[in-house]
Amino acid sequence: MFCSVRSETDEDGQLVARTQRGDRNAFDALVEKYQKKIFNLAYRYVGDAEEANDLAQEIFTAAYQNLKKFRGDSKFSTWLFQIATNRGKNRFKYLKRRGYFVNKGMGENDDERDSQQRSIPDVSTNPETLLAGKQIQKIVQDAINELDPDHKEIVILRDIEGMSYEEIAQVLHLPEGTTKSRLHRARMVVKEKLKRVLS
Amino acid sequence: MNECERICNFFGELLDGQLDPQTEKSVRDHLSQCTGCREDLKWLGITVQSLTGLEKLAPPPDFVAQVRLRISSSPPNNAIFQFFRNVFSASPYMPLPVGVSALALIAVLGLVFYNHVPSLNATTGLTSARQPASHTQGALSSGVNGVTVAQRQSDNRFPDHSQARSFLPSPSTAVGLQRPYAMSAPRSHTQSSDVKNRLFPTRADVIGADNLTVESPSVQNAVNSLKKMLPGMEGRLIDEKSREDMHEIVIGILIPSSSYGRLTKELINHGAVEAGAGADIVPPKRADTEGNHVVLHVRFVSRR
Repeated sequence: MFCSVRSETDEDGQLVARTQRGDRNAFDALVEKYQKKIFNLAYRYVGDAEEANDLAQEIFTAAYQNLKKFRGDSKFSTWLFQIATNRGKNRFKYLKRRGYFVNKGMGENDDERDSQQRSIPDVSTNPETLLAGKQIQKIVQDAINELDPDHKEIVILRDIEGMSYEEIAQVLHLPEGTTKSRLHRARMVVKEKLKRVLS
Repeated sequence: MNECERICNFFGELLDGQLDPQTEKSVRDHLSQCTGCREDLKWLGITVQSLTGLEKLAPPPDFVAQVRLRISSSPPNNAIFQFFRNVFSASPYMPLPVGVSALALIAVLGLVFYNHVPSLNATTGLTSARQPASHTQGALSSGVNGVTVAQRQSDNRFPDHSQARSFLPSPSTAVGLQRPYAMSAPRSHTQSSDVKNRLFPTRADVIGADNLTVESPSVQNAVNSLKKMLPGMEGRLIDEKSREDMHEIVIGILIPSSSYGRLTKELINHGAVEAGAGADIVPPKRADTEGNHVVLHVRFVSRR
Protein backbone atom coordinates (compact mmCIF):
# COMPACT_ATOMS: atom_id res chain seq x y z
CA MET A 1 0.00 0.00 0.00
CA PHE A 2 2.79 2.38 0.93
CA CYS A 3 4.54 1.70 -2.36
CA SER A 4 1.42 2.27 -4.39
CA VAL A 5 0.65 5.51 -2.57
CA ARG A 6 4.18 6.70 -3.08
CA SER A 7 4.13 5.85 -6.75
CA GLU A 8 0.83 7.66 -7.18
CA THR A 9 2.33 10.75 -5.62
CA ASP A 10 5.40 10.41 -7.84
CA GLU A 11 3.22 10.07 -10.90
CA ASP A 12 1.33 13.23 -10.02
CA GLY A 13 4.60 14.98 -9.27
CA GLN A 14 5.96 14.14 -12.69
CA LEU A 15 2.81 15.31 -14.42
CA VAL A 16 2.88 18.54 -12.43
CA ALA A 17 6.51 19.14 -13.30
CA ARG A 18 5.83 18.55 -16.99
CA THR A 19 2.85 20.86 -16.88
CA GLN A 20 4.94 23.55 -15.23
CA ARG A 21 7.39 23.21 -18.11
CA GLY A 22 4.57 23.84 -20.54
CA ASP A 23 3.35 20.35 -21.40
CA ARG A 24 -0.41 20.71 -21.79
CA ASN A 25 -0.83 16.99 -22.35
CA ALA A 26 0.52 16.38 -18.87
CA PHE A 27 -2.18 18.58 -17.42
CA ASP A 28 -4.78 16.79 -19.51
CA ALA A 29 -3.63 13.60 -17.86
CA LEU A 30 -4.14 15.14 -14.43
CA VAL A 31 -7.62 16.28 -15.44
CA GLU A 32 -8.40 12.81 -16.71
CA LYS A 33 -7.28 11.31 -13.43
CA TYR A 34 -9.22 13.59 -11.09
CA GLN A 35 -12.18 14.63 -13.20
CA LYS A 36 -14.66 12.25 -11.64
CA LYS A 37 -13.76 13.11 -8.06
CA ILE A 38 -13.78 16.83 -8.73
CA PHE A 39 -16.98 16.64 -10.76
CA ASN A 40 -18.76 14.74 -7.99
CA LEU A 41 -17.50 17.14 -5.38
CA ALA A 42 -18.77 20.01 -7.48
CA TYR A 43 -22.09 18.27 -7.97
CA ARG A 44 -22.57 17.83 -4.25
CA TYR A 45 -21.90 21.51 -3.73
CA VAL A 46 -24.40 22.76 -6.29
CA GLY A 47 -26.80 19.85 -6.84
CA ASP A 48 -27.06 20.29 -10.57
CA ALA A 49 -25.09 18.56 -13.30
CA GLU A 50 -24.74 21.56 -15.58
CA GLU A 51 -23.69 23.86 -12.77
CA ALA A 52 -21.33 21.16 -11.52
CA ASN A 53 -19.72 20.90 -14.95
CA ASP A 54 -19.06 24.61 -14.99
CA LEU A 55 -17.72 24.58 -11.45
CA ALA A 56 -15.46 21.60 -12.14
CA GLN A 57 -14.01 23.33 -15.20
CA GLU A 58 -13.42 26.44 -13.13
CA ILE A 59 -11.57 24.38 -10.53
CA PHE A 60 -9.25 22.80 -13.05
CA THR A 61 -8.70 26.11 -14.79
CA ALA A 62 -7.74 27.71 -11.50
CA ALA A 63 -5.43 24.82 -10.77
CA TYR A 64 -3.72 25.20 -14.13
CA GLN A 65 -3.30 28.96 -13.78
CA ASN A 66 -1.81 28.63 -10.31
CA LEU A 67 0.23 25.52 -10.87
CA LYS A 68 3.45 27.50 -11.00
CA LYS A 69 2.95 28.29 -7.33
CA PHE A 70 2.63 24.63 -6.37
CA ARG A 71 5.91 23.64 -4.78
CA GLY A 72 5.15 20.06 -3.85
CA ASP A 73 4.90 20.72 -0.11
CA SER A 74 1.74 18.64 -0.13
CA LYS A 75 0.27 16.08 -2.48
CA PHE A 76 -1.11 17.46 -5.68
CA SER A 77 -4.50 15.96 -4.85
CA THR A 78 -4.56 17.75 -1.51
CA TRP A 79 -3.74 21.01 -3.22
CA LEU A 80 -6.34 20.39 -5.90
CA PHE A 81 -9.01 19.66 -3.34
CA GLN A 82 -8.14 22.82 -1.46
CA ILE A 83 -8.95 24.76 -4.60
CA ALA A 84 -12.03 22.65 -5.18
CA THR A 85 -13.51 23.15 -1.71
CA ASN A 86 -12.83 26.85 -1.78
CA ARG A 87 -14.39 27.32 -5.21
CA GLY A 88 -17.26 25.02 -4.33
CA LYS A 89 -18.01 26.93 -1.16
CA ASN A 90 -17.94 30.23 -2.99
CA ARG A 91 -20.17 28.95 -5.76
CA PHE A 92 -22.61 27.53 -3.23
CA LYS A 93 -22.82 30.85 -1.39
CA TYR A 94 -23.24 32.69 -4.65
CA LEU A 95 -26.09 30.45 -5.77
CA LYS A 96 -27.74 30.47 -2.38
CA ARG A 97 -27.79 34.26 -2.31
CA ARG A 98 -29.66 34.17 -5.58
CA GLY A 99 -32.25 31.72 -4.33
CA TYR A 100 -30.95 28.96 -6.57
CA PHE A 101 -31.63 26.22 -4.09
CA VAL A 102 -35.18 27.35 -3.34
CA ASN A 103 -36.33 26.00 -6.68
CA LYS A 104 -34.44 22.81 -6.12
CA GLY A 105 -36.56 21.57 -3.22
CA MET A 106 -35.41 23.52 -0.21
CA GLY A 107 -38.58 25.62 -0.18
CA GLU A 108 -41.04 22.76 -0.13
CA ASN A 109 -44.22 23.57 1.65
CA ASP A 110 -45.78 21.31 4.21
CA ASP A 111 -48.14 19.70 1.71
CA GLU A 112 -45.36 18.57 -0.52
CA ARG A 113 -43.38 17.30 2.42
CA ASP A 114 -46.41 15.35 3.68
CA SER A 115 -46.98 13.74 0.29
CA GLN A 116 -43.33 12.84 0.11
CA GLN A 117 -43.51 11.20 3.47
CA ARG A 118 -46.61 9.25 2.55
CA SER A 119 -44.89 7.85 -0.53
CA ILE A 120 -41.84 6.64 1.39
CA PRO A 121 -42.22 3.24 2.96
CA ASP A 122 -41.09 2.58 6.48
CA VAL A 123 -37.33 2.81 6.52
CA SER A 124 -36.98 0.30 9.30
CA THR A 125 -38.18 -2.56 7.12
CA ASN A 126 -35.53 -2.36 4.40
CA PRO A 127 -33.47 0.80 4.69
CA GLU A 128 -30.67 -0.28 2.36
CA THR A 129 -33.01 -0.76 -0.55
CA LEU A 130 -34.85 2.43 0.13
CA LEU A 131 -31.70 4.43 0.48
CA ALA A 132 -30.71 3.55 -3.03
CA GLY A 133 -33.86 5.11 -4.43
CA LYS A 134 -33.72 8.34 -6.35
CA GLN A 135 -36.15 9.95 -3.98
CA ILE A 136 -33.91 9.32 -1.04
CA GLN A 137 -30.98 10.63 -3.05
CA LYS A 138 -32.85 13.86 -3.54
CA ILE A 139 -33.76 14.07 0.12
CA VAL A 140 -30.15 13.55 1.11
CA GLN A 141 -28.94 16.14 -1.41
CA ASP A 142 -31.50 18.60 -0.09
CA ALA A 143 -30.25 17.96 3.42
CA ILE A 144 -26.68 18.61 2.27
CA ASN A 145 -27.80 21.82 0.58
CA GLU A 146 -29.18 23.09 3.85
CA LEU A 147 -25.92 22.58 5.71
CA ASP A 148 -23.75 25.57 6.43
CA PRO A 149 -20.62 25.71 4.27
CA ASP A 150 -18.24 24.32 6.91
CA HIS A 151 -20.41 21.30 7.61
CA LYS A 152 -21.16 20.79 3.97
CA GLU A 153 -17.57 20.59 2.85
CA ILE A 154 -16.57 18.13 5.53
CA VAL A 155 -19.48 15.81 4.79
CA ILE A 156 -18.62 15.93 1.10
CA LEU A 157 -14.95 15.18 1.68
CA ARG A 158 -15.44 12.40 4.22
CA ASP A 159 -18.69 10.62 3.48
CA ILE A 160 -19.00 11.31 -0.24
CA GLU A 161 -15.41 11.54 -1.46
CA GLY A 162 -14.16 9.01 1.09
CA MET A 163 -11.10 10.97 2.18
CA SER A 164 -9.36 10.06 5.41
CA TYR A 165 -9.40 12.34 8.45
CA GLU A 166 -5.75 13.08 7.87
CA GLU A 167 -6.33 14.10 4.27
CA ILE A 168 -9.32 16.23 5.22
CA ALA A 169 -7.28 17.94 7.91
CA GLN A 170 -4.64 18.81 5.31
CA VAL A 171 -7.16 20.06 2.77
CA LEU A 172 -9.04 22.21 5.24
CA HIS A 173 -6.03 23.22 7.35
CA LEU A 174 -7.72 21.92 10.47
CA PRO A 175 -6.50 19.76 13.34
CA GLU A 176 -7.67 16.20 13.03
CA GLY A 177 -9.69 16.45 16.24
CA THR A 178 -11.56 19.46 14.91
CA THR A 179 -12.20 17.58 11.68
CA LYS A 180 -13.79 14.69 13.56
CA SER A 181 -15.95 16.83 15.81
CA ARG A 182 -17.09 19.00 12.91
CA LEU A 183 -17.97 15.92 10.89
CA HIS A 184 -19.94 14.52 13.79
CA ARG A 185 -21.98 17.70 14.11
CA ALA A 186 -22.59 17.80 10.37
CA ARG A 187 -23.78 14.22 10.33
CA MET A 188 -26.10 14.89 13.26
CA VAL A 189 -27.69 17.75 11.34
CA VAL A 190 -28.26 15.56 8.29
CA LYS A 191 -29.54 12.78 10.54
CA GLU A 192 -32.19 15.02 12.05
CA LYS A 193 -33.36 16.10 8.62
CA LEU A 194 -33.54 12.54 7.38
CA LYS A 195 -35.31 11.40 10.52
CA ARG A 196 -37.89 14.14 10.10
CA VAL A 197 -38.62 13.12 6.54
CA LEU A 198 -38.33 9.37 6.78
CA SER A 199 -39.78 8.49 10.15
CA MET B 1 -22.66 17.03 29.33
CA ASN B 2 -24.57 13.93 30.33
CA GLU B 3 -23.49 10.38 29.67
CA CYS B 4 -25.62 9.98 26.54
CA GLU B 5 -24.14 13.12 24.98
CA ARG B 6 -20.65 11.91 25.80
CA ILE B 7 -21.30 8.49 24.26
CA CYS B 8 -22.98 10.05 21.23
CA ASN B 9 -19.76 11.88 20.38
CA PHE B 10 -18.12 8.51 19.76
CA PHE B 11 -20.73 7.23 17.31
CA GLY B 12 -18.94 8.52 14.24
CA GLU B 13 -15.67 6.79 15.10
CA LEU B 14 -17.57 3.72 16.15
CA LEU B 15 -19.15 3.49 12.71
CA ASP B 16 -15.75 4.11 11.13
CA GLY B 17 -14.20 1.40 13.28
CA GLN B 18 -11.67 3.80 14.70
CA LEU B 19 -12.31 3.52 18.41
CA ASP B 20 -9.72 1.96 20.68
CA PRO B 21 -10.91 -1.27 22.32
CA GLN B 22 -11.46 0.22 25.74
CA THR B 23 -13.56 3.11 24.50
CA GLU B 24 -15.51 0.86 22.17
CA LYS B 25 -16.36 -1.44 25.05
CA SER B 26 -17.63 1.40 27.20
CA VAL B 27 -19.76 2.70 24.31
CA ARG B 28 -21.27 -0.69 23.62
CA ASP B 29 -21.95 -1.24 27.30
CA HIS B 30 -23.90 2.02 27.37
CA LEU B 31 -25.78 1.14 24.18
CA SER B 32 -26.88 -2.16 25.68
CA GLN B 33 -28.66 -0.24 28.42
CA CYS B 34 -29.86 2.91 26.59
CA THR B 35 -32.70 2.67 24.07
CA GLY B 36 -32.42 6.30 23.05
CA CYS B 37 -28.74 6.01 22.18
CA ARG B 38 -29.37 2.82 20.24
CA GLU B 39 -31.99 4.65 18.21
CA ASP B 40 -29.61 7.57 17.63
CA LEU B 41 -26.88 5.23 16.49
CA LYS B 42 -29.26 3.51 14.11
CA TRP B 43 -30.26 6.78 12.51
CA LEU B 44 -26.68 7.94 12.35
CA GLY B 45 -25.84 4.74 10.55
CA ILE B 46 -28.66 5.35 8.09
CA THR B 47 -27.37 8.86 7.57
CA VAL B 48 -23.80 7.82 6.89
CA GLN B 49 -25.00 5.05 4.63
CA SER B 50 -27.20 7.44 2.69
CA LEU B 51 -24.33 9.86 2.28
CA THR B 52 -21.79 7.26 1.19
CA GLY B 53 -24.43 5.66 -1.04
CA LEU B 54 -25.06 8.75 -3.10
CA GLU B 55 -24.57 7.93 -6.72
CA LYS B 56 -21.33 9.00 -8.30
CA LEU B 57 -22.00 11.00 -11.41
CA ALA B 58 -19.74 10.82 -14.40
CA PRO B 59 -18.56 14.01 -16.03
CA PRO B 60 -19.33 14.57 -19.69
CA PRO B 61 -17.24 12.46 -22.09
CA ASP B 62 -15.51 15.53 -23.49
CA PHE B 63 -14.77 17.07 -20.11
CA VAL B 64 -11.01 17.10 -20.63
CA ALA B 65 -11.43 18.88 -23.94
CA GLN B 66 -13.78 21.38 -22.35
CA VAL B 67 -11.23 22.17 -19.68
CA ARG B 68 -8.49 22.60 -22.28
CA LEU B 69 -10.71 24.95 -24.27
CA ARG B 70 -11.62 26.95 -21.21
CA ILE B 71 -7.98 27.37 -20.23
CA SER B 72 -7.08 28.47 -23.73
CA SER B 73 -9.89 30.96 -23.94
CA SER B 74 -9.34 32.55 -20.53
CA PRO B 75 -9.50 36.29 -21.15
CA PRO B 76 -6.27 38.33 -20.78
CA ASN B 77 -7.62 40.37 -17.92
CA ASN B 78 -8.12 37.17 -16.02
CA ALA B 79 -4.34 36.87 -15.89
CA ILE B 80 -4.16 40.44 -14.63
CA PHE B 81 -6.89 39.66 -12.12
CA GLN B 82 -4.91 36.69 -10.92
CA PHE B 83 -1.76 38.77 -10.83
CA PHE B 84 -3.29 41.25 -8.44
CA ARG B 85 -4.72 38.42 -6.40
CA ASN B 86 -1.32 36.85 -6.11
CA VAL B 87 0.38 40.15 -5.30
CA PHE B 88 -1.60 40.34 -2.13
CA SER B 89 -1.68 36.74 -1.17
CA ALA B 90 0.61 33.79 -0.84
CA SER B 91 -2.03 31.29 -1.80
CA PRO B 92 -3.93 31.25 -5.05
CA TYR B 93 -7.34 31.51 -3.52
CA MET B 94 -7.14 34.28 -0.93
CA PRO B 95 -10.04 36.57 -1.50
CA LEU B 96 -9.09 39.53 -3.67
CA PRO B 97 -11.05 42.13 -1.67
CA VAL B 98 -8.52 41.76 1.10
CA GLY B 99 -5.76 42.91 -1.18
CA VAL B 100 -7.83 45.64 -2.77
CA SER B 101 -8.84 46.92 0.65
CA ALA B 102 -5.21 46.95 1.72
CA LEU B 103 -4.23 48.91 -1.38
CA ALA B 104 -7.04 51.40 -0.80
CA LEU B 105 -5.98 51.82 2.81
CA ILE B 106 -2.40 52.51 1.78
CA ALA B 107 -3.59 55.10 -0.71
CA VAL B 108 -5.75 56.83 1.89
CA LEU B 109 -2.94 56.85 4.45
CA GLY B 110 -0.60 58.27 1.85
CA LEU B 111 -3.04 61.05 1.06
CA VAL B 112 -3.52 61.89 4.73
CA PHE B 113 0.22 61.87 5.29
CA TYR B 114 0.83 64.08 2.27
CA ASN B 115 -1.68 66.67 3.38
CA HIS B 116 -0.73 66.79 7.01
CA VAL B 117 3.02 66.61 7.13
CA PRO B 118 4.18 70.24 6.89
CA SER B 119 7.75 69.41 5.95
CA LEU B 120 6.66 68.04 2.61
CA ASN B 121 5.24 71.42 1.62
CA ALA B 122 7.73 73.64 3.42
CA THR B 123 11.04 72.24 2.35
CA THR B 124 11.17 73.79 -1.08
CA GLY B 125 10.09 77.18 0.30
CA LEU B 126 12.85 77.21 2.84
CA THR B 127 15.32 76.03 0.27
CA SER B 128 14.51 78.85 -2.07
CA ALA B 129 14.68 81.33 0.79
CA ARG B 130 18.08 80.11 1.82
CA GLN B 131 19.53 80.19 -1.62
CA PRO B 132 19.31 83.77 -2.69
CA ALA B 133 21.96 83.40 -5.32
CA SER B 134 20.10 80.54 -6.83
CA HIS B 135 16.66 82.05 -6.95
CA THR B 136 16.97 81.81 -10.65
CA GLN B 137 17.57 78.10 -10.50
CA GLY B 138 14.95 76.35 -12.46
CA ALA B 139 12.73 79.35 -12.09
CA LEU B 140 11.41 81.15 -15.09
CA SER B 141 11.83 81.70 -18.70
CA SER B 142 14.52 84.25 -19.31
CA GLY B 143 12.56 85.53 -22.25
CA VAL B 144 10.17 87.40 -19.99
CA ASN B 145 11.84 90.61 -19.02
CA GLY B 146 9.50 91.35 -16.23
CA VAL B 147 10.36 88.08 -14.68
CA THR B 148 14.05 88.61 -15.06
CA VAL B 149 13.75 91.99 -13.42
CA ALA B 150 11.61 90.56 -10.67
CA GLN B 151 14.11 87.87 -10.05
CA ARG B 152 16.98 90.27 -9.93
CA GLN B 153 15.15 92.60 -7.68
CA SER B 154 13.99 89.82 -5.43
CA ASP B 155 17.56 88.65 -5.23
CA ASN B 156 18.63 92.12 -4.16
CA ARG B 157 15.82 92.34 -1.72
CA PHE B 158 16.54 89.00 -0.19
CA PRO B 159 20.26 88.46 -0.59
CA ASP B 160 20.24 86.28 2.45
CA HIS B 161 17.85 84.91 4.88
CA SER B 162 18.46 87.59 7.50
CA GLN B 163 17.17 90.31 5.21
CA ALA B 164 14.11 88.28 4.49
CA ARG B 165 13.43 88.23 8.16
CA SER B 166 13.16 92.03 8.25
CA PHE B 167 9.88 91.87 6.38
CA LEU B 168 8.37 89.46 8.75
CA PRO B 169 6.96 89.33 12.19
CA SER B 170 8.72 86.98 14.51
CA PRO B 171 7.17 83.56 14.63
CA SER B 172 6.34 83.92 18.30
CA THR B 173 4.01 86.88 17.75
CA ALA B 174 2.50 86.13 14.39
CA VAL B 175 -0.85 84.50 14.26
CA GLY B 176 -0.79 81.35 12.24
CA LEU B 177 2.70 81.93 10.90
CA GLN B 178 4.98 78.99 10.70
CA ARG B 179 8.27 80.41 9.54
CA PRO B 180 9.85 83.67 8.46
CA TYR B 181 8.09 85.05 5.48
CA ALA B 182 10.18 85.30 2.37
CA MET B 183 8.60 86.11 -0.92
CA SER B 184 10.90 84.10 -3.07
CA ALA B 185 10.98 84.33 -6.77
CA PRO B 186 8.54 81.99 -8.33
CA ARG B 187 9.87 78.54 -8.73
CA SER B 188 9.22 76.50 -11.74
CA HIS B 189 7.05 73.63 -10.88
CA THR B 190 7.30 70.43 -12.70
CA GLN B 191 4.29 69.20 -14.46
CA SER B 192 4.13 66.30 -12.06
CA SER B 193 3.67 68.66 -9.09
CA ASP B 194 0.85 70.41 -10.92
CA VAL B 195 -0.74 67.08 -11.59
CA LYS B 196 -0.22 66.13 -7.97
CA ASN B 197 -1.87 69.35 -6.82
CA ARG B 198 -4.85 68.69 -8.99
CA LEU B 199 -5.19 65.12 -7.83
CA PHE B 200 -4.61 65.79 -4.16
CA PRO B 201 -6.13 69.07 -3.01
CA THR B 202 -3.82 71.04 -0.78
CA ARG B 203 -4.79 73.05 2.22
CA ALA B 204 -4.61 76.11 0.04
CA ASP B 205 -7.04 74.65 -2.41
CA VAL B 206 -9.41 73.76 0.38
CA ILE B 207 -9.19 77.22 1.98
CA GLY B 208 -10.45 79.09 -1.03
CA ALA B 209 -9.44 82.32 -2.66
CA ASP B 210 -11.28 84.64 -0.36
CA ASN B 211 -9.66 83.68 2.89
CA LEU B 212 -6.05 84.59 2.56
CA THR B 213 -4.50 87.09 4.88
CA VAL B 214 -0.81 87.72 5.08
CA GLU B 215 0.75 89.43 8.05
CA SER B 216 3.91 91.37 7.54
CA PRO B 217 5.79 94.09 9.35
CA SER B 218 5.98 95.93 6.07
CA VAL B 219 2.75 95.59 4.21
CA GLN B 220 3.83 97.64 1.21
CA ASN B 221 6.99 95.67 0.65
CA ALA B 222 5.11 92.39 0.87
CA VAL B 223 2.58 93.63 -1.64
CA ASN B 224 5.31 94.75 -4.00
CA SER B 225 6.95 91.36 -3.78
CA LEU B 226 3.74 89.63 -4.70
CA LYS B 227 3.20 91.98 -7.60
CA LYS B 228 6.60 91.14 -8.94
CA MET B 229 5.83 87.46 -8.82
CA LEU B 230 2.75 87.85 -10.98
CA PRO B 231 4.35 88.00 -14.41
CA GLY B 232 6.12 84.74 -13.72
CA MET B 233 2.76 83.12 -13.12
CA GLU B 234 1.14 84.79 -16.10
CA GLY B 235 -0.96 86.76 -13.65
CA ARG B 236 -1.82 90.42 -13.35
CA LEU B 237 -3.04 92.88 -10.81
CA ILE B 238 -6.68 93.84 -11.17
CA ASP B 239 -7.52 95.56 -7.95
CA GLU B 240 -5.84 97.28 -5.05
CA LYS B 241 -7.31 98.93 -2.02
CA SER B 242 -5.53 100.24 0.98
CA ARG B 243 -6.35 101.95 4.20
CA GLU B 244 -5.06 105.38 4.79
CA ASP B 245 -2.65 104.28 7.44
CA MET B 246 -1.21 101.67 5.04
CA HIS B 247 -1.62 99.05 7.65
CA GLU B 248 -3.80 97.00 5.36
CA ILE B 249 -3.77 96.50 1.65
CA VAL B 250 -6.07 94.24 -0.28
CA ILE B 251 -5.03 93.33 -3.77
CA GLY B 252 -6.94 91.45 -6.36
CA ILE B 253 -5.00 89.42 -8.85
CA LEU B 254 -5.99 87.40 -11.89
CA ILE B 255 -3.96 84.27 -12.32
CA PRO B 256 -4.33 81.06 -14.35
CA SER B 257 -6.25 78.41 -12.51
CA SER B 258 -3.23 76.17 -12.83
CA SER B 259 -1.18 78.71 -10.85
CA TYR B 260 -3.76 79.19 -8.16
CA GLY B 261 -2.83 76.22 -6.08
CA ARG B 262 0.84 76.98 -6.39
CA LEU B 263 0.49 80.60 -5.36
CA THR B 264 -1.81 79.99 -2.45
CA LYS B 265 0.32 77.13 -1.25
CA GLU B 266 3.34 79.38 -1.26
CA LEU B 267 1.42 82.07 0.59
CA ILE B 268 0.28 79.51 3.12
CA ASN B 269 3.77 78.15 3.51
CA HIS B 270 4.99 81.63 4.14
CA GLY B 271 2.51 82.57 6.75
CA ALA B 272 -0.85 83.30 5.20
CA VAL B 273 -3.62 82.52 7.62
CA GLU B 274 -6.91 81.02 6.90
CA ALA B 275 -9.36 83.22 8.70
CA GLY B 276 -10.04 86.89 8.52
CA ALA B 277 -8.34 89.36 10.79
CA GLY B 278 -11.32 90.59 12.74
CA ALA B 279 -14.80 91.98 12.32
CA ASP B 280 -13.61 95.53 11.81
CA ILE B 281 -11.61 94.61 8.77
CA VAL B 282 -13.54 94.61 5.54
CA PRO B 283 -13.39 91.11 4.19
CA PRO B 284 -12.04 90.73 0.69
CA LYS B 285 -14.26 89.87 -2.19
CA ARG B 286 -14.93 86.30 -2.91
CA ALA B 287 -12.90 84.91 -5.73
CA ASP B 288 -14.65 84.20 -8.99
CA THR B 289 -13.63 81.74 -11.55
CA GLU B 290 -13.44 82.83 -15.13
CA GLY B 291 -12.93 79.86 -17.17
CA ASN B 292 -9.23 79.12 -16.95
CA HIS B 293 -8.39 81.99 -14.64
CA VAL B 294 -9.05 82.71 -11.02
CA VAL B 295 -9.48 86.02 -9.26
CA LEU B 296 -7.67 85.90 -5.97
CA HIS B 297 -7.81 88.50 -3.24
CA VAL B 298 -5.02 88.69 -0.74
CA ARG B 299 -5.17 90.89 2.27
CA PHE B 300 -1.92 92.15 3.68
CA VAL B 301 -2.06 93.40 7.22
CA SER B 302 0.51 94.80 9.53
CA ARG B 303 1.90 92.58 12.17
CA ARG B 304 -0.22 92.75 15.30
